[in-house]
Amino acid sequence: MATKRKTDHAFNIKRLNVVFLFSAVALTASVIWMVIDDYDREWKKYQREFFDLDRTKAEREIQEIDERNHDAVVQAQKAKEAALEKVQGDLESKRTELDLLQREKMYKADQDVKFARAEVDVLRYEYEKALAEYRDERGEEDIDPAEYPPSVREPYDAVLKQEAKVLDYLNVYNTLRQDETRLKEEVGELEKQYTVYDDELRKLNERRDILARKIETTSTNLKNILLDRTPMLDFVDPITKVEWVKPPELRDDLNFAYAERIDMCKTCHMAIDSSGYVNDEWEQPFRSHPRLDLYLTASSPHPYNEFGCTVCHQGRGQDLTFNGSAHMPQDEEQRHEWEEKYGWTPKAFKYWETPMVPNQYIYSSCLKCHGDSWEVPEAGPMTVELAAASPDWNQKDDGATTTDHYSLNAGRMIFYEYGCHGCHAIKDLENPRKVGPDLRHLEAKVEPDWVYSWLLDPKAFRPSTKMPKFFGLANNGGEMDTRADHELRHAWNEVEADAITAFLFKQSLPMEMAVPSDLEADAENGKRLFENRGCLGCHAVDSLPFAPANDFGPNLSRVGEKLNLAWLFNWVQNPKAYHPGGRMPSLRLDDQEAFDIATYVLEELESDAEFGAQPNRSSEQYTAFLDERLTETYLENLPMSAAEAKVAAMSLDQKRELFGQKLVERYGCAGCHMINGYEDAKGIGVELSEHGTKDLHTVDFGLELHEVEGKNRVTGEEEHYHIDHTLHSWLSMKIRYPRIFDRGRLKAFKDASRMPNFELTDEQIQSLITYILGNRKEPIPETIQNRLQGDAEVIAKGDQIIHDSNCYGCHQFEMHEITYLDDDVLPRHGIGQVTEISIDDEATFFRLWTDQVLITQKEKTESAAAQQLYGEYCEPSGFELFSHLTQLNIQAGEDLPLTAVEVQEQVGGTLELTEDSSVSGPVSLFTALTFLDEKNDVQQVFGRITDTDLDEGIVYFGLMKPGAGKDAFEDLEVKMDRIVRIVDPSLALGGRLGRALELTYAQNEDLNPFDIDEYYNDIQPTIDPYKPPVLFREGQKVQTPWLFDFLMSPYPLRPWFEVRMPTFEFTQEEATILANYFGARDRRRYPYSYNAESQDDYLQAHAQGEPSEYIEKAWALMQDPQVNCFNCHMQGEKTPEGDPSSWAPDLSMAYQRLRPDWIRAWIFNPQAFQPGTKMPQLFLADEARYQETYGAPSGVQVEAIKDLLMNWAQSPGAASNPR
Amino acid sequence: METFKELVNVLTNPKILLIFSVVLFAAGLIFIRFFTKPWVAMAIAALSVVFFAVSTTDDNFMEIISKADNVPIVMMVVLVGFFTWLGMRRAVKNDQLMEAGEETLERRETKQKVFVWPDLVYTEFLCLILCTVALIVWSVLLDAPLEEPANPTRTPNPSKAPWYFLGLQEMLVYYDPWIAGVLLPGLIIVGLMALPYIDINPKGNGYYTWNERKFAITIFLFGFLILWVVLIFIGTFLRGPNWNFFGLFETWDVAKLEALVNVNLSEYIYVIIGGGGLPTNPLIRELPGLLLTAGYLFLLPPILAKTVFRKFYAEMGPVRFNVMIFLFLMMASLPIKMALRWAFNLKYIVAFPEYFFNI
Repeated sequence: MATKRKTDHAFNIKRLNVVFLFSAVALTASVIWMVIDDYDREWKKYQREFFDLDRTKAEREIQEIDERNHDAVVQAQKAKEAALEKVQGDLESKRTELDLLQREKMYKADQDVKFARAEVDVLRYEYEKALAEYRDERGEEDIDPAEYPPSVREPYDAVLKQEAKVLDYLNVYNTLRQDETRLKEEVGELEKQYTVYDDELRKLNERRDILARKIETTSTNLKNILLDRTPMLDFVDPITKVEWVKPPELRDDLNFAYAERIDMCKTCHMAIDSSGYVNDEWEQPFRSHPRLDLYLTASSPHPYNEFGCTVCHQGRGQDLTFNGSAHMPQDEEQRHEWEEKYGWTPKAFKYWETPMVPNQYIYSSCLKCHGDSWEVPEAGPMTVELAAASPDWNQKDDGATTTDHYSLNAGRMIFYEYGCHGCHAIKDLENPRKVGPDLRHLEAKVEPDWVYSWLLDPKAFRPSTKMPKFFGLANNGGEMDTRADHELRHAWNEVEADAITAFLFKQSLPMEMAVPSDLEADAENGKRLFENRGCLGCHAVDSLPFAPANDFGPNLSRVGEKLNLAWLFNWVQNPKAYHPGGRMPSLRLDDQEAFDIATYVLEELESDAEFGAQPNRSSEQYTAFLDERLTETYLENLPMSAAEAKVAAMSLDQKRELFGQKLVERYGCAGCHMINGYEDAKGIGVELSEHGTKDLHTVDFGLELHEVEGKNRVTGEEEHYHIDHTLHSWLSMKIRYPRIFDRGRLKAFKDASRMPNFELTDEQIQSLITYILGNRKEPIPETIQNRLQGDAEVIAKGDQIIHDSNCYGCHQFEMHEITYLDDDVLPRHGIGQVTEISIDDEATFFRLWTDQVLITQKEKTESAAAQQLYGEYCEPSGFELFSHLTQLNIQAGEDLPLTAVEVQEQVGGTLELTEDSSVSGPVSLFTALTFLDEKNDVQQVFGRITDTDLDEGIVYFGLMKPGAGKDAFEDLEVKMDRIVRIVDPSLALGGRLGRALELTYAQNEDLNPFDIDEYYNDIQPTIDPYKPPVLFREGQKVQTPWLFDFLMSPYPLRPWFEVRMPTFEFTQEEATILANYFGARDRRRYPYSYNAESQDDYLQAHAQGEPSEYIEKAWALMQDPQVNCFNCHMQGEKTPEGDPSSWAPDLSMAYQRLRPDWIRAWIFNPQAFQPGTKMPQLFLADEARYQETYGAPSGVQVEAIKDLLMNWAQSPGAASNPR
Repeated sequence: METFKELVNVLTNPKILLIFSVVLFAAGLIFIRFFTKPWVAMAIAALSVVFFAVSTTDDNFMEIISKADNVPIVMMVVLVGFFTWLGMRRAVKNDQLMEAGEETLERRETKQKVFVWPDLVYTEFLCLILCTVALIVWSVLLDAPLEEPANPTRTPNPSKAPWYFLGLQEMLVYYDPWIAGVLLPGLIIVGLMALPYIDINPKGNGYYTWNERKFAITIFLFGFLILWVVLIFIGTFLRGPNWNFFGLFETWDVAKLEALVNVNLSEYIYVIIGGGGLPTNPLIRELPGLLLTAGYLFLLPPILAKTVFRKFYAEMGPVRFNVMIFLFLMMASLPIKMALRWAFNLKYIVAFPEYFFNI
């Protein structure tokens, strides 16, 4: 036997064991570490925290429920339980009975029947067998049973006997079945009862049970702790779960492919789609979404399952960490907070191209689906002024919003109105127009000196101009220019402005501008026409009150310094001749009128302000700079000597013109202005169609400035701006100081930034950023975009034309709306005019102008009956009639508790009553004044301007004061130079011209428009009849074809008016859209609607009797002294008697102009269609009047008048007044 | 501290770094006995640790090494250094033993017999556990280095290959893609496959030795350490935005620009030296380059065979020798081209842009 060879060990095994021990410990430790690391993930911590908080909340709520109506509930519960118990007892005994019946009796009876039947079969067989044998015997086929021999007879009898027995058994069984059915019914009834009681009992505690379940699932009992919350063990039933949603139609763009979009945001934001987790109590990430009415909930237009989160908020939906999901702070404060709390750095979103939209710009996301709309729904007011006047425009839900959001619509409007598209192409805006005036015939309009100084600083001449500043900016000698040769650069600007002027005048084409020589000027008449014809619908003049409101056209305060008589005469007469693409319409003025207005404007609208500097063309700086620049342009392709020779050979004017041409091309002047030779010039700026998703690497941050000191445009104070490496931060600096990123860089003249400064306010800049960020490149399928069709499309297009034509300038389109709770605590809704709000009395006075006695609340029930009758006449036509309007007239003194009133504006908002604010009410009533107080804090107050002192530069502003009744205004003195902005938000309803007419009248008559007495007793009654017509529900009123014709070629409907509907020279397409717009807006048929009344045989078929007699009677009714339509209405050429302020439109035109169903409804209740109309309510549905003239119910009478108007040609009126 | 950083930045200029590496490499092999002493190694290791620790105070350096992608490279540098030293130390020890007429370490070890269990399986099991621990810890501490979705309009700057390919990417700077990306990598693989057939020297089989295989070890280590590992190091630490060189502690500034206008050999000869214009015929134009390349590939081997490598030629025979010398020249072509580029801004030796053929 071989001895075992001694074998060495390569290692010391004992030492290896030690190593093994440590390795094993290390492995165990690392595994534990791994489990803990997983358990400790950010989102899991949040979820556990949320469950605990939510449980506390539920517990508290349960406690509240129990406390609130503990006894009642307990009692109710006891009663219900007793009832339930009783039913249950009955039910059980019945069930037992049924069971016994079925189990014992019926079973046996059924067996009996079955056995007996089996017996029958056997016996029948035996009988048939015997019969067959016998038949064979007899050889006969048919045998009468009476002749059966006993061998057959016996089985035969046995069969019969057994069959009888079966019947007996069956009888027993069926009797039992009857019992069973009855019992079953009884049981069913009891069961139903039981369910009802049970349901009631459950409902009694429904909310409580839900809460109790919530508490149970999230409570920390042993089972839950072991199986839901212990690391490792929690795989059984983890309490923490990733919550995700996969919107079916949305995709992530991964450049090479589209991937399904998965949003896991709800994993941390657990309460985002439940209400009640609001501000004060709940911290992020556990808050409810502030707009659950619009988002996330199943009933909202953007349900969670279809849209998810990142479609609006951007960011990385599939990341479960704070930083990885690319959160973006909204301001510096939040950034610091996040840096501390989450270790946030801009690198957090380095690997995701679309970080979250900062909260204040969130409305930018609306644009990608709702870009078709002129006003993107819910995305903010159309101007920053309106947004400022209703600071709570974005708060609808339970107050969970914390941020000031910026309005997308306002930003878009700024982009459109300031002509950003002149340089920056953008897909969102179709057919953008050139926003500046036409410069092709510049010579005929202004002097070179004026152009020169205008170019250097447009706002010096006209502070409200939209023309931006090109000179004196951060890279050419402005305040922000920090270079040493600051002065020199400033001098260079003068060369540039001079050169541009020279070039523009060189390009100017001659244009005939002549004034008929036989005219004599009447400036007095010019002033009257200027104030009353309608100029003030678009233009403001500083010497008239409320000047800043009419900012659609240029402010005309100083045009006298700028223009010449011949040009102005031609311009006011036919603006399109000089500027074919312009927005100024023609007021169809005759020569004399145009001459008077031109004379007035030139003489009156001129100030003493210093304006206009001269370039010093002989200075060395001037020539050196000019030569250098020109040589530079030639040096691109010429040797130095040749370039210099070329420049030297030019005359000064040639040099100026050539340099000017280069500059016009460089600055892209042709983006906004028509310039001869540059009609089709392309914009020089970067396209912005996808700027919202622009790659940060392609954005020029210059020398990476981080801190910039600048002057606030409003306060003039030094301000500090921090530039983050984010798109919005860059945009904000780029718009505020367009050339700031040139700072510190050595750039050639031709490479320097050239964007001009539009000198926008902070709000304007932020809104504009909101709009720019909304232009994104993103794969949103057409199916979920809100592409407008039908009515909506017509309205969107019409809105744009209405904006471009400034219809709101003259016409009021909307009325105030009011919603309040009536005595029965039912919400009521109506339109009219809020006249006064008394805080002291906690009452709102909401009045309609009618010449009838105001109907008091007591008459409500009576008018409710009437309302049904109106409905009878109006309903078939589908009017949306505010039939309850008549109930809404609340007499002065009859209070409505303010707490129950919510006054809403169509546009605008409501103002909260606060302790220290002395005013409350619908903001549209008040002028919003924003000014700087002594501490330079921005203050905003609401009230009315009561007086101005131009010499002292003081505005007296009436603040509403509690407890003073009509003298409620308390004067606040504000220095004019401290005023930031004055807004009259009521202008949002439209009709600025009406306000201007009132104010000019007041000024001319030396009245105070802000004195309630003078206003309501004098100013308003005098001016109201001459205001442009209110277009509220115009679509219900007029026939679309008539409107089309009228828009194409307006004619005087109310010849006594001084105000005139201008000719806009709409294209047929535009007029069609606009005519249809009103039909679409008021949901009436368009462009055509069938008018039975206009058909030949209509009168024959519908007349109550002979047609001619019918017309006669209707005519007589109209002439009835109590009705007397022609007391006010014109009738062809024939004007009514009395003062023109009481006249009304020509009835002979009604048949082509008005919709017949409207005529009928209108006669019955004019106020319902146009609150405040002078038209009296002559017919009451429930009261027959004028029976001597026309013996018929009022419905028939009104019908007859309508038929007469629609067949005017057959009326006696037509015969006597042919038109 | 700043001066130290400045100095390091200067030293890590790739030209200096590469020369320094070669010098260090040569010194290491010449004074191999000294460097394989444990205390010397410990001293070097200690110095390296200090250097590394000091370096981590630099933001830029910290950013590079803390990138999850680059962690393996730091480990690689440590491991390569350690194992190279370990191998060389054994080689030197064996040489000393053999000089004393004793058996080599390996031979001693092979005489010893041990059991599979526990000696093999136990240690393997321990390795398994420790590797698992390392992987768990690594995965807990560092997230997978995923970046943003690939975007053709926005490539990362610098665009870097995976760390193990950075040497290849560095070659692309000096050679056309077909050489740097196809020919040279292909030759690396072919060359490694051919080694057993070229190398007929039986010495060194089964034991470490330096004295007996000086040439083979030098060539291999030069190829691996200098032309592979150092290039990876350069690619990782010194190549920044726009593929510019940056010092080890220099901030990676995207805006940094370098004036690099490279010139072809033909231009040197005809324009700069000749003072005329380039010949229109491309063949004549590129004749000098072609001749130079042909001379390098076809003239040099026989010359070497007659002179420096006479002994090898005699031992290996013409076929083996020519294959070996071809591979050797191809390997040498990389440092040669690098030197030419750095010294003379030489772009291509042969440049046929007409045919997309450049050397």
